[in-house]
Amino acid sequence: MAAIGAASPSSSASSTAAPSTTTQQNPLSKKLHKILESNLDNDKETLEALGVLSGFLDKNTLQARRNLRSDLEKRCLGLNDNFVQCLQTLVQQVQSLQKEASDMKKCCDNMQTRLGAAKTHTSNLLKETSELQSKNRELEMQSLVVSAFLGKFQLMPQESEALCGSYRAQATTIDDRFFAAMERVRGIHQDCKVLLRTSQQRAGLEIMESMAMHLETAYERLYHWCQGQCRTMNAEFPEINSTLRKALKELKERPILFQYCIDEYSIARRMALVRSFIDALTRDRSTGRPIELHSHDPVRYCGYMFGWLHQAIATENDHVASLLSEHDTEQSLPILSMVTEGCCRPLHTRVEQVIVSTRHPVLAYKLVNLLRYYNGVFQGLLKDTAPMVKTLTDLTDLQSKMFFSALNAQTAKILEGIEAPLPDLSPSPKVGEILSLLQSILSSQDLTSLGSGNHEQQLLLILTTCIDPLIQSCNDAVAPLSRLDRAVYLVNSLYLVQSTVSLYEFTDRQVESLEQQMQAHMDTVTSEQSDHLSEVVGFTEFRSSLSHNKLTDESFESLNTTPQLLSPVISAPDQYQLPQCKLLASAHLRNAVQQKAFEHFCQTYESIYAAVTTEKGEEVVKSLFPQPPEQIRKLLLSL
Amino acid sequence: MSGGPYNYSYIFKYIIIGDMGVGKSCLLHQFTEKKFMADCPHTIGVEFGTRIVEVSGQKIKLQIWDTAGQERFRAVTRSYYRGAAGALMVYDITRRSTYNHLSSWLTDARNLTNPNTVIFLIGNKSDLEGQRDVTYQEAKQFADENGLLFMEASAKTGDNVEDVFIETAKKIYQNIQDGNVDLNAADTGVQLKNTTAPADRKQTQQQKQDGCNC
Repeated sequence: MAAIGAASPSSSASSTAAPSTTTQQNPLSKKLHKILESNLDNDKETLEALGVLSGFLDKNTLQARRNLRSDLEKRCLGLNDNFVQCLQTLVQQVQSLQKEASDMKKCCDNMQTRLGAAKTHTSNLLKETSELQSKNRELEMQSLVVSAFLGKFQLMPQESEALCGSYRAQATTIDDRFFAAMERVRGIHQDCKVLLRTSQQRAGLEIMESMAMHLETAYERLYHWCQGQCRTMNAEFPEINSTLRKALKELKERPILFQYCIDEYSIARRMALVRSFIDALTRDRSTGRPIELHSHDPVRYCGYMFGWLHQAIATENDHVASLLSEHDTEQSLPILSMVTEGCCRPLHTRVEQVIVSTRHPVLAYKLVNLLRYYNGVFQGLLKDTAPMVKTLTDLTDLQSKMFFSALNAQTAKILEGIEAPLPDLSPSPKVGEILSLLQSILSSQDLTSLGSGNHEQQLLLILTTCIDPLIQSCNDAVAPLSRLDRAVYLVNSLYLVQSTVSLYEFTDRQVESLEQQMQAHMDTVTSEQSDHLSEVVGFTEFRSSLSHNKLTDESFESLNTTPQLLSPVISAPDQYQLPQCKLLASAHLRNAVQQKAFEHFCQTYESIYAAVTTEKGEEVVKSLFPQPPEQIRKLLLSL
Repeated sequence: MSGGPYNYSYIFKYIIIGDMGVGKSCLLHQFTEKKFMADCPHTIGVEFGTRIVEVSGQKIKLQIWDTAGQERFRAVTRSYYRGAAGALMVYDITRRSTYNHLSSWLTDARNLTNPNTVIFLIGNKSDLEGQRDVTYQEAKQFADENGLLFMEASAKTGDNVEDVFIETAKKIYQNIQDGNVDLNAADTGVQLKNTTAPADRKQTQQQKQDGCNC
């Protein structure tokens, strides 16, 4: 304000003193200058100030002008006062604000610390929560695993029920659910082995144990069920369904239980079979012809029984196969052998009765064959140790014995009081009788003639049983006869026997032995015949001297008649055949005897001829024997 | 033959009869093995074969007894007529003698089997047309006169073999359905095997009860 007050008088002064250059260095002039030079139009501040200033005074008076400064100062003071007052308030307000701010800060600090504390506190909680959460997830996973594990390693309640049966219905039947459950138990048991390989050994062991227990219960139940089922197999036609088949297949895992069931089955079937057998024997409803009606016909009666059993065994075999669901002969044979056991006694009693009452050897032999055939058949179907096979073997042996004793008796009966030979020396009719008996036996050997070395032996026995006594009685019968008659008769008989026997198989040995015996007798006949020829031509004496090496003149003299005696023999040798030789039954034998006798005669002739030649010289020989030995041989043997 | 070898409802017993060498064993072999057996040895006594067939939806096991044709085996073979549900009587169309013996075989069959036994006459060796000795007409007439089923077949080519066995089974089954065969009686040659034929079982039981009431 002072500047403005000072400037106003100076601006008027400077405008008067402007052109003086000497005032330039004077600060007042400078100030004036500046005022004068200032362009008010452009100075807004000044203008504003002036504007404000103009409102101060109501009247432009001197008073006013003189008091301007103080007025201004007063105004300035007032303004400042006002200002101070305002500031005072402000200060107060600012101070209160500051106080509040500091309060607030305090509060905030407080809050901060508290927050900090809370934060530390919460972070623990958070950690715990996240831990719990992860634990939760883990547990959920575990629970999944466990339920999966249980699903895999434990039975469902319904499975368990199917397996072990509910208490309410103990006798429930076995069905497919049972087998499925059983399969599962076994599967679990198997899977546990995997568990054992891991670290879960205890669980594995425990589950295995529990499954094993389940399995045991299941097997036990299965066993009882099977046993019950098997027990009902005693109907004529057993109903073997697939469940039982399956059950038994399962039960095979427990061989002892399986065997018990099989035994049960065998017993049931054995009963059924015996019943059917007795039925067929005594009261066949369908045909009205029970087998026993045929008991008067031994072969048919026995044949029917065996045939029935044969078919029954085949059917039982089918049943067993369908029970075991496979054709395991190892297993089915003992069963069959047990099933058929029951029929042994009724069969044995009946067949034995037939055997004992069959006295005729031919019939008996037919029975032997029938028995032997079926013994073979049953041996093929059953085990060798089966009671049925044993029964048949026993019966066959018995029948065989009975047959031989019958044959012996029959032979003895036929040969009893064999009569002396007829004058024609033909075989006794008894020989024919024996032979026809033998023929009927041998022609019914059919059934078993195939195979079995036993058979050949038996055949030999049959032949000896018949033929030995026959030959013996023939020998006995001819005792009182002459040697030649005896020989011819025996040759005739033996020839008949031999020609009959040789028609059959396996009789070679017998035929040979007969041939030998016959030959012996033939030799007798031959020597008789050749002796007869020697006698006719008068060789007897010389020959006996020659054989004793005592040739005398008399011996030579005995040959004197030879030439006359020899010529008729040579011209008609048949005339000199002994009558008995003509009685030989076979032309072939007659011829053979003749030839051999001539041969012997020629040999005698040769030896005598040689002896005479040595002793008496060629001359004498030629006179005594006009024909040399070669010629004689030619003449006689060419016949 | 599906369903395994044990699922059958009936067992039918057959017997095959006829002169020696007419091809009985070959027919059986052709039927059971579906093969022709050349140089077939003579049958000794009896032999047997089985096969399961299906008739009217029923599985039936045929148990077939093949007998020796030779006379000397009669003591054995005649025991097998008793339990036969079907008898296949075979002759050889190229050998008249085997045809001529049919009446004696038929007599045996009638005497020894039961009245319901189905008898089927078979002229075997139909493949040997050139050597034919017995005409179809003649045999057909014989069969008709005696109430037999008849067919010519060939064990060698397999012609008609299947039909012969199955036709016989059909006829037997028909007899059962008609109630002519008592399933409870022994030796009818028919056995009911499984429970798979409940209808028949019921019928059977019915028959049984009827029998009791009579």
